[in-house]
Parts: sequence; C-alpha cells; structure tokens
Amino acid sequence: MLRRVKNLLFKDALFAVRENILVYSLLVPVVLAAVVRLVLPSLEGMELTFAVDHSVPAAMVEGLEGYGRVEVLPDRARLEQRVLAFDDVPGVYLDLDRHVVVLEGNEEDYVAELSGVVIDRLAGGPDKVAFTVAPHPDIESPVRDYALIMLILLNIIVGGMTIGMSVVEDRQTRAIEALAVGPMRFHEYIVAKSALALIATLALSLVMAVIVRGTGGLPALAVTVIASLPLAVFVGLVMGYLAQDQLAAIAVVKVIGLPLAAIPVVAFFLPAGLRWVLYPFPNYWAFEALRRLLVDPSLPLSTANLAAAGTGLVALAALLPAARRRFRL
Amino acid sequence: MRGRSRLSALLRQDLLLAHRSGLFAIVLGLAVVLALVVNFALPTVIGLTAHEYVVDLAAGRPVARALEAAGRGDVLLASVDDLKRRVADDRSAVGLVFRGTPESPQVELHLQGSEPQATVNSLEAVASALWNRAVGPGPGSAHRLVELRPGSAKVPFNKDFVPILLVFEVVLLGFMFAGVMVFQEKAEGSIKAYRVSPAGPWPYIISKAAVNLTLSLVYGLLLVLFTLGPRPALLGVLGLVALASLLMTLFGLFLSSFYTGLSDFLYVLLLVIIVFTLPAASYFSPAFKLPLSEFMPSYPLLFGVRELAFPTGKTGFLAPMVLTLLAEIAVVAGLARWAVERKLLRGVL
Repeated sequence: MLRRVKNLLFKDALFAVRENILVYSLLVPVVLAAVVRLVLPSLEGMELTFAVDHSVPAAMVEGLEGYGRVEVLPDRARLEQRVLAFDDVPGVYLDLDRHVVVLEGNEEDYVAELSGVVIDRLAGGPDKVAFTVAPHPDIESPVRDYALIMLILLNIIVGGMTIGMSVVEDRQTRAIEALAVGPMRFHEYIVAKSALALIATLALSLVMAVIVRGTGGLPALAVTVIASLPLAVFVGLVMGYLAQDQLAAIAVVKVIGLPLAAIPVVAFFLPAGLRWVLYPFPNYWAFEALRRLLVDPSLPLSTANLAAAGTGLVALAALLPAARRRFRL
Repeated sequence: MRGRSRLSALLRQDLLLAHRSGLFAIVLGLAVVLALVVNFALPTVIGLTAHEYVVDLAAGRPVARALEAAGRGDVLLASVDDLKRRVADDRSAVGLVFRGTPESPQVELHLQGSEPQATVNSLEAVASALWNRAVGPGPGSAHRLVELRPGSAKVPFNKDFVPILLVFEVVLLGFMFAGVMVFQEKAEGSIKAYRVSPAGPWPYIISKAAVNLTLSLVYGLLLVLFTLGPRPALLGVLGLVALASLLMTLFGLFLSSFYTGLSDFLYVLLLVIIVFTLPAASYFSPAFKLPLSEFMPSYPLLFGVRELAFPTGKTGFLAPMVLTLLAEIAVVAGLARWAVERKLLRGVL
C-alpha cells in the first residue's frame, strides 16, 4: 500500500517540479505575505489626511501632522481639486484670519467632526483639560492578526484547490481510469493526492506567520492549521468530484469560493449570539480557531480546533462514498 | 469575408464551450445568490469606526448631561469597571473617564494599546471638545465649514456593496475564464489545429474576449437589475464594467499564454486577484488610502462605478477614466496579440 501511495506521490511531485507548480505554490504565498506585511503599517496606523494650501500658518501645519498626514498644495484651486478626489480628504485654508475646513459633502460624518475639533484644539491654545492614559497592555493591532488569519485561511483553501486540480487533471487525461484497473485503492489515491499539498499548506502557513507576525507561537499555530486540514481535502474532493475538466474546475471554484470566502467574513460581523448558525461549517471553525489563537486567547482554543477537525472530517466522510463511485476506484 | 466567417466559427465554438461548461448557468446562479445576499443578508448600516464609551465622574456630570441631551446616552456607562470590561472585551473600543471640576477637568483615556499616536491625539481633541461644549460657553469655534457639493445622499451599506461586486466579481470573471479557456484548448489539442489554420491571433483573441465580455455583461446586468433595479445609470455602469472587463480578459489571455495549465496558473491568478482587490480597503473608509492604490485600475474604477450607480453630482471624472481604460486596453491587447502569436500559435517563447 505504502509503495503505491509513494509512487503516485512521487509522480505528482515530479509533475509539480516539471511544470513549475512547486515554484509557484511556494513563491506566491510568500509574496502574498510580503505584500500584506508591506501594507500593514498603513492599515494599522489608519489616519486622516489633511490637504492645506500656503495660507495655513506653519505652526498649524506642524500641529496637524500630529493628527494625520498633511499634503501641502500650492493654491486654493488645487486644494479644492484634492478635496473633490475619490478619497475623503478634508481641506484647510485661512480666510480673514479664520480657518476654513473644506469638504466635498459626501464624507463620513466623523471626517467633518474630527477635522473641526482638531482645528479648534490647535487654534485654541493650551488645553484646559489634563489628560492621563490608563495603564494598558502594549499589544499588537488586531489588524495584523486578522490579516494573518485571512492569509492562512486562503492558504488552506488554495491547498485544497491544488488537490482538486490534481484530481481534475487525472480525470481530464483519463489517468484515473488507468489507475482504476490497477491495484490502487480509493483511500490510497486520496492520501497520495493530498499528502504533498497538505504538507506544503502547513509549512507555508508557518512561513506566512513568520513574515507577518514573527516567530512567536508557531507550535500552537501548527496544531490549529493541522486541525483545519480536513477542510482542504474536502475542498479538493468537491472540485475533483464536480469538475471533469479545467474550465469546469474554475467554474466550481467560482461557486464554492463564495461560501468559503463569505463565511469567515460573516463570522467577523455577526453578533456572538447568532454565530450558532455557522457551527456546521468547517471554514467557520477554521476561522474561529485561528481567531481564538491569535486575537482572543480568553476563549478555549482546543474546542475550536476539535470542531474544525470534526466538521471537516464529517463533511469529508459524507462526500467520500459519492466520490468513490464517480472515480470508480 | 473569409476572416469574418473564421471569427464567427470560432465565436460559435467558444460560446458552445462556455455553455457546455455551464458558465452561463453559473453566472445566472451567482447573480441570484449575490442579489439575495445584498438584498436580505447585508445590513443597511454598519459601524466601521471605533466604539467609544464615556464615564462622567466630574462634578455635576456635565458631559453625561450634554450627551443625553444630544441623544447619545448610549455611549454612557455607569462605572469605570464597566468601561474597563467593555474595552477589554472589544478590541475596537476606547473609553473616556471625565473627573474633576469645571475649573480643573481631568480625562483618563482607556486604550487598547495598539493605537497610533495620531489616534490618541484625536481622542484627546474629541474629549476636549466634549468638555468645552458641555460646560460652555467655550472659546467658540475657530473654524468655518464649507461643503463644495452639499446634500450628497448616503447610500445604504448593502446597496453600496454592489460596485464592489461589479468590480471584483464581474470584471475579474473574464480574467479567470479567458485563461482557463486557453488551458482547455491546450489540454484538448484544439490549439494545435488552430496553429495550422490560416487565421491569425486576432480572431482567436477577439473570440475569447467577446465570449467573456458577453458573460460579464450578462452577469453585471442581472446583478444590477436584481439589486438596484432598472435605473438610468445602468447603461453607464455596464459600459464602464464592460471596458474594465475587456481589459482584464485581455490581461488574462496575455498572462495565461505563459503557463501550461491551470495548476500552475492558479497561484498567479490568486496573486493578481488579491492585488487587484486591495483597494477595496479604501472603499468603505475613503479617508484612508493604501500605498500605490492610485496605480491600480480597480481603485478609480470602484469609485467611478459607485458615482455612476449613485450619482452625487461629481463631474469630470468619467472622460479621463474611460480614456485611461481605452489606453490600457490598447496596450494590453498588443501584449496579448504578441503573447498569443509567439507562445500559443508558434510556441517559440
């Protein structure tokens, strides 16, 4: 049995090397993590941008820099042009010794309120109010953790798609029919098709975590990713089951991609009391386990890990008999 | 005439392939599902800003009284312990505790610990303004507000989601499907038959682009009709979506020419889709812009489609956007022709 699995696995690995699939599958997730790392400072330090013209005194410009980015424009016309651009940037100019905040009119309420409040504070001299900051833990922004969660979920799904594409390839080239007349059994085929992709998914998830967040907590992350791997096999098997060629495979990706992407997003916004509607879905538990690990350690992680593995295995077990019939293995 | 009949034969073949692969059915199904999500699952209002909580322990509770009078009593909490609990439970929450007297007010800020200094400064400015307004008459406002285009209506969140779907679902459809059509032909060997025919690269490219443009237009039309209903802006929206879709279809043809199959293209496809969708971060918070957003075609496109679907009176944006798209289409069409001829039809690269 082991030899048959090993042979098919080596054949797939050779194919992956020859067709550069291995290079892309290793390179692209790393590039993605690097892109996320690059844009993270902008997301974590989201701040307002003010556009000012030369009428605004230097002291006010310097003061505004404490509240966000400042773009200095040569004249009023350019300032208004900047305010009318697609993003929400309030403009500031001085008119008869009074500051004027220019808005387009469709900004979020807080943009107008905050701009006015900041100008008033800077123009009004020293504060009457004495401020203190209560002691707080020096924590990382949750944006970084949520970005990593989404990257790892994507990586798990892509791992599943890699399994699926390999099965579709076998169906399209009829290699699966050749295997069917040999001694290979169905479960051996699934193990051989999944092993490489699952190892790569686990390794790349850890690499992504190192790039985005550093080396802390990798063993716990590895356990959580392993608990979610049945989801990857399920995604691959759904693709292989439904699609007989590449065009159909990408169509299947479009269809199953919707719930795969939507459920974690819905889970993020859904009030805690309503989250039970998502309990049957393995990708909800994959998200929840990663959320508990990275964002909210006060909730029990092992329950979410068990649920991720359990729902994934149940979904897989439900699909296996139908897949076995279709693949005739 | 012969060229035209070759093109129509190719077109029929590609349409048949798309139909047999269930692409039209999938587009219809996706449009229905997404319309159901937009109309019934997405909320009409969503809070994307931080939650602020206030405890007023100052003499006479001036801030609490002012907030209650302004109808914002929902942010008030009874005790500092309650505020600490809320801030600890909600990673997007911050708290303000007012103490002292009108002569010497004090404010304690309760933060998450990850806020940048600009946010802390803004919070102080808000707290200072709250206090000054509550104990008034304060120093008076140092600014005047001018709106260049007042009266722009706010669009419900669920309807505001439609431009996102049009740009990231409909426009990217051609990019995904065009590439896969190429791989399908490679796998079935029909590209070899095309190589020995007298037809050049253009009929091949035009046929693929036309089929995917049809799919995108059907998808976009159904999505807009099911979510926003028939409206005068429909033609403009679909026109812009069609141009962007054509651009991405041609880009898909260009890029896929360098790959042997979907297995290796899948990763590049995902990378392009994710980079293309990054400007979505600015869509619901236009005050914040990711670096290099303005160089991605999806950034202006998102806001352009939104302006056409929900006009606010903005002028002068459409012509430059269309001209830019046309220029990009011309460049990418040239690249696609070069790649299809060299890689697919001659196989020299």
